[in-house]
Amino acid sequence: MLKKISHYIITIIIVILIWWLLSFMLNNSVFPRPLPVFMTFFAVQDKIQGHLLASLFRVILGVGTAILIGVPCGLILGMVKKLDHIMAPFVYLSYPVPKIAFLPVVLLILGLGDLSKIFLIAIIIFFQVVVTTRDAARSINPELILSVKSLGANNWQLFYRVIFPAALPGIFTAVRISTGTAIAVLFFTETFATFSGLGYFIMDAWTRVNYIEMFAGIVALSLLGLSLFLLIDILERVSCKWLYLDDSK
Amino acid sequence: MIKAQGISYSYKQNNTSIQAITDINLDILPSTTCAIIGPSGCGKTTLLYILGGLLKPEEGTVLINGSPPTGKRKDIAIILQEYGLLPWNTVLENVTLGLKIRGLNTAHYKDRVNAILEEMEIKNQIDKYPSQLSGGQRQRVAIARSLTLQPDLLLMDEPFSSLDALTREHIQNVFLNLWKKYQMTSVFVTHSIEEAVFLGQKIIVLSSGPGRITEQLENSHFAREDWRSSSSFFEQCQKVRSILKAGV
Ligand SMILES: Nc1ncnc2c1ncn2[C@@H]1O[C@H](COP(=O)(O)OP(=O)(O)O)[C@@H](O)[C@H]1O
Ligand SMILES: [Mg+2]
Repeated sequence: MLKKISHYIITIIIVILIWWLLSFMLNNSVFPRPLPVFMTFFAVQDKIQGHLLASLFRVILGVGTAILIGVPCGLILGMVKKLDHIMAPFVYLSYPVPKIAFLPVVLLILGLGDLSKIFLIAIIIFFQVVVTTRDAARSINPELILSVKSLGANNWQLFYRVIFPAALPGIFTAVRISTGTAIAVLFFTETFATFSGLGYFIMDAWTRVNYIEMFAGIVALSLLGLSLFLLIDILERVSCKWLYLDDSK
Repeated sequence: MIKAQGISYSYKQNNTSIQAITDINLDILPSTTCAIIGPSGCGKTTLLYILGGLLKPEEGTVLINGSPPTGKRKDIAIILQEYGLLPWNTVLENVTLGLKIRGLNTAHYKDRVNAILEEMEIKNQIDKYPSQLSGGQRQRVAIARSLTLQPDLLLMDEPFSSLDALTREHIQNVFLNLWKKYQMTSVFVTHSIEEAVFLGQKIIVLSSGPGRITEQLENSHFAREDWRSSSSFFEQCQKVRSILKAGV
């Protein structure tokens, strides 16, 4: 654990060094140096925190909804081949459609508030979650299912004793991938018709030509993403103990 | 105990059908052991699944104690080739899985479970996960899991084939002691001639796929540790070998 933390710290230092080097070479106010950015980051905390919470709320609700609906859908498709055959063309056709382009439509129907942003995040990552979860459920060793069946398990017992835990690592992969996407979508939705969220904060600083504040917003958004990733990591370690047996020693 | 008549099975795959076994007739008496031997791909696993009620025969009938096997019958235990242990459960959780699935209160069965864990020499491993065990220990966990339900029929798919020689002999003896103690009817699939001759009271030889029975041998000297090194043991092996060859 300690090793991991020091690893992270070293990585952060390297990233900041690269940032500093780049800003030094570009020597342009559009790309400020790290130190003034961090100083501003702490100076504008009062202002940033509200935006951070607004963004956090949207991204967690969006990702949460997509997982809550997408995981069961993926598991069912992975288990019931016939249903998968019927649904697969639908899923594959709608997967590559750039749903972000429907932002104007969503704004018109669901309004300018949080709902339209959450909906857009959820709908975009829903397909990622479904496809990844389905593939995880498909690749379960059939022997496991048979042997638990032979102990007398009914379908529900098979589901929560075998299929769900077997698919869990795959589900975490899906969540990890989609959190990255979700933050990108979040940023995009927050740049339109809203006065809250880190996306707004960044764009607003940009229009005011306050690049240092803009970068403070970027730092906040990165930290938001980083903490979500760490949270997912911790949740996976707790719920998939059997995969991390060597680490715990 | 087991009566099977004219059972056949074929797998359907992309509009073709692969005949796995044809016209198998079996009559296995209670409290006996039976080895099913045949080349790989001859349908041994398929036959075992049918006997255990995991697959339905396309033709023919299987009766276990007079009634067809279903997945729900509590007295049939099946140990599959890769042992079927759940990687996310500890040894103890795996061993008590059958009890939990049947909605039994595991606390009431503590004594039984403890006795089995001790008998299987895995008492010290109960908090480990399957990936932390050796092949032999995994096999013993799988046997322990099936024993907790006190089956009267034990079906095993190549139970000892992936173990190293010494572990294999040890677990074969563990199995024999269990069988002598509990007297459950035991049917196991193997591709090892020595194993069939050492453990099988009856030896059923299957031809290469689609599997049909080439011959059934009574093997009355089975299960005797001292027989393993005698010349009549090797003669019996030789006999099984020639029957196997004739069926390929
Ligand atoms: N799920 C399956 N789908 C299609 N064919 C299968 C399946 N399982 C087994 N087979 C085929 O059926 C035959 C018998 O298989 P199996 O019973 O596993 O043989 P064994 O256990 O003796 O090696 C083989 O030819 C195998 O390829
Ligand atoms: Mg097999």
